[in-house]
Amino acid sequence: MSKIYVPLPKKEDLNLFFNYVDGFFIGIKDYSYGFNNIIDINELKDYIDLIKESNKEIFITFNRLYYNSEIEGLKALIKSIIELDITGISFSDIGVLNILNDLEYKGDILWYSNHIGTNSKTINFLSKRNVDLFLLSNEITKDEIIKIKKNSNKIIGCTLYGHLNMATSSRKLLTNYFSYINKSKEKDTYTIKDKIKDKEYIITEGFNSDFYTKDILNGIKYYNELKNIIDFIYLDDYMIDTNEFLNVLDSFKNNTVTGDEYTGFLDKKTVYKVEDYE
Amino acid sequence: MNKIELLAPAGDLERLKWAFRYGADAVYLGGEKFSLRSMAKNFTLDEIKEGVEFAHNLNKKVYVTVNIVFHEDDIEDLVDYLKKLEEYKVDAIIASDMFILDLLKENNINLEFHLSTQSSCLNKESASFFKKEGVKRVVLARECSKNDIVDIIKSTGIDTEVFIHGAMCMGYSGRCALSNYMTNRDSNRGACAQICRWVFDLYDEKEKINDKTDFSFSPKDLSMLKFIPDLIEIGVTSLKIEGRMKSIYYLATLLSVYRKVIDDYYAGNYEYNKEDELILERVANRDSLPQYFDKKPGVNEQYYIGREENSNQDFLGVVLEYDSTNKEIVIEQRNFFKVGDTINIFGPNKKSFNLEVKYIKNEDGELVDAARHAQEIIRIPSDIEVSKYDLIRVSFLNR
Repeated sequence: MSKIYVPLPKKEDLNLFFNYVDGFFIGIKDYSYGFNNIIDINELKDYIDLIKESNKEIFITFNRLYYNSEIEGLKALIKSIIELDITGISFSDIGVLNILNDLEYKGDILWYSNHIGTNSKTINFLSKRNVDLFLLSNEITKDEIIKIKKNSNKIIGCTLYGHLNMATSSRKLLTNYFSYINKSKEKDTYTIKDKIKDKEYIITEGFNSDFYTKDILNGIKYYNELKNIIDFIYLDDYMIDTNEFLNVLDSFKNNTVTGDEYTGFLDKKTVYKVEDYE
Repeated sequence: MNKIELLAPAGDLERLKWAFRYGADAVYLGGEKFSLRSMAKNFTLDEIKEGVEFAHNLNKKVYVTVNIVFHEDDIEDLVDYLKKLEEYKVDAIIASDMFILDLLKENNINLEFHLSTQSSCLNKESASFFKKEGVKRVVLARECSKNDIVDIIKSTGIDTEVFIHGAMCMGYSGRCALSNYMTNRDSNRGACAQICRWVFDLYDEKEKINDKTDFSFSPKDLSMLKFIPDLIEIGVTSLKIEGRMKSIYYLATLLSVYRKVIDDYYAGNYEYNKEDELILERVANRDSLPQYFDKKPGVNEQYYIGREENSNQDFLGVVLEYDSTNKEIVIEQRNFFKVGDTINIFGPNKKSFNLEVKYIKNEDGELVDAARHAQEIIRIPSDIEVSKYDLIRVSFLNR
């Protein structure tokens, strides 16, 4: 049975989540992105104490790529965090894994693969370098997920709910645009509309600029099959109202399939060869 | 101190040869499998073999990209392919998917591994990880600044390859899947639809932000012309030109400029030359800037109305031979020019010069007023001797 991990909700809402989830991904200000509730390092201890009371797991999430100039700060932060009572640390930048291995970190290490966790060989490579859990790319199919699990036999997870991150740019794309049109940027989140297909997507600007699907992935119809094969699922509440998200958690708990939902690439292969177009 | 490498793209065997003629120390190319740029012609294994032999005869190098992010079904045949590359004495592979490091070891395949920029290596910890794994060279993320590069080299001692010219991705390489979501074409497997060249409307809820200016996030191109001395001094190993799908004219033009700059630097004759900048501007048909090296790119480093490209017809012809008896240049024509025009001739290891076209003879030796037909063979007079493979362009330099 797959475990269910979700992003950290606000402190006052934590209790509402304990019945539904096995653990939380925690984003740290300046070092993580894509969280509604991104916390300052000073708040971390309080959250850990609250979560540990309920025996839930905690993964501190370093899901950004880091500039060289940030590395010393990052190292110091990681050193302080691994002393705390957490389950593990998740990473995207391979530099974080290097730091953890140099520190001989004994907790769980989770690969937050973003767009590049797409095959079992890479999973096996990282497993030999002390990585324990693997959150796969959102751009692969359900069948590929199952194949990766079978071929790697490692602790595998995938995202089954949320706005999907499509891309990250280090450029301040909104700030630049507003500057160009000589208008002030009043928010960090806007919608872009594709002129040809009229399709909408979300763009946010923080440390980087990030693109997300406006459609919300809901892979509940595949959950029954996947939950007995893969080890965990990640349900993402980013930019989603807490009550709505709690309803989603309830539907996963009770396996309530609600009809036609956006299923991303779970049932759609991407193409890349000339013959695929013919 | 080893001389810095000038590394050029080679979209096919013809361009590989042109790249070496115009001063590349090494080229990178993609095979028919496992390489980004799945829409390009790419090299068959036989062509890779021929390309490597051609390069090694000139004491130059060939790197083969194996840089897709592999899906489960893509891996079949990879070992056989890598063994072939080893057999053909390819000098290195450029790869991003980490498992290939183990695959090489497990199968005793002796191929140097260069980490592709698709891995977005931005910092010394990441570089250190890959160095410990046996990676010889890291193609640094295009987002690295000068200080980042300096510290990565100093801290790790790893060989570094830095992009100096060509198109930029909007996103971190390997971390952009816009093409997947908007067109179903897999960007990390070579089918990027270049969404960052599209235009969009920007909305705040239901309200369109601006009716006059589309929202676009297309970066201008990269040009590091003015920072070549810096890159040499800080110890970068290789300077890379982007553009496996570009023309021989583009390639030859860039290489002739960068080759001269590098050689002048080592010879102690380097001086920044505005003319070089003009040549690069003309050939690229997009604006080009240093982007991340000296600052973080801002409002001026991108376009806001999608593609801003001007196709140009600067490329007039290829020199096939010089007829020293009749003092005529034999040319294969590429774009229109006429009697009375001033043209510019450039080639490897020579200073370009302007020439007024006094007459044009067609293949039958008849005088014609203009060269109108692509690939027709023509003759024009020149007292200055030129060489096979020199190129002819519109004269835009004030000489």
